[in-house]
Amino acid sequence: MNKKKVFNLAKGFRGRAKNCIRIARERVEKALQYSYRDRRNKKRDMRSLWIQRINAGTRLHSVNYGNFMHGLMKDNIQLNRKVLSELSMHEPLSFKALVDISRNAFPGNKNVVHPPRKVSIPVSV
Amino acid sequence: MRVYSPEEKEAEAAAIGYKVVGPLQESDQLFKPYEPVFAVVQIGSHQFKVSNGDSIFTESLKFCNVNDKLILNKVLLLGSTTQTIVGRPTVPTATVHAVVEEHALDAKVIIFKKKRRKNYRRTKGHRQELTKLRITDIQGIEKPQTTEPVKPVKAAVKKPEKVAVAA
Repeated sequence: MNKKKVFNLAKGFRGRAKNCIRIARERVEKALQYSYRDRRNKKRDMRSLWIQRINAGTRLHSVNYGNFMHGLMKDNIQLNRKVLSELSMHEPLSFKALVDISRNAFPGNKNVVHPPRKVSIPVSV
Repeated sequence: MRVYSPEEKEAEAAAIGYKVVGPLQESDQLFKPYEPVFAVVQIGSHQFKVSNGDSIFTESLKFCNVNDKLILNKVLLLGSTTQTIVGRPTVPTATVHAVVEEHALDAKVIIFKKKRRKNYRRTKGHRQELTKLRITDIQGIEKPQTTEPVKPVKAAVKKPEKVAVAA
């Protein structure tokens, strides 16, 4: 039943790749190769996303990501980036507490980054 | 199948995964309504931000059956609406209680390797073993009660509690 399995995996493909076995088999093999590679890439992409989110969260408190992580490592806090990004999104008060801890642990942290100024855009009707 | 005959060996392996198996009991009122308290707990090498009533999928834990009560004792952070307790690295007196809901297999992933024009193609299927835990209780932090106004408490010596400013 290999053709049946191939067509099951080829659902949603474009054009003849979902209907004709010769083309579907090629496209399905390529799709499976991409998924093998991307299961490894997903770990890298997620870590990059977490770091971007942590960076954004700390810059609201005028600290950048590098100094923030340095302060946490100095203080032996072993929270990983996944949890730190979740805290920066959903628990702003706890995240501010962590930023303060990092600032105390690493004194080069005072006002490294200026938080973005909020500009009020006049609404034209 | 290696036989872990003495129970001390089970306890050691459990300590590596940061779980202690408690007895399973019926007629125990474990499932409380939602409390606005969260904890960051570490199981193996994965960390989770959990709250009351959450369910998490972890790698399959070896020495527990379904409907076992677990105590997760590697807690890295505790938080509520008024306090945050940060551990360095763990908070020693904090525990998170959980119940094993099921041991299950993950969805199948197909591992497909191909080298083009070299007549090499390999296919393999894989299902990872997982354990689903339901978090029942978080202990080690004052839980805010809705009736009284809670004042933020400055803590004692070892672990510096960070008092979060209530907005």
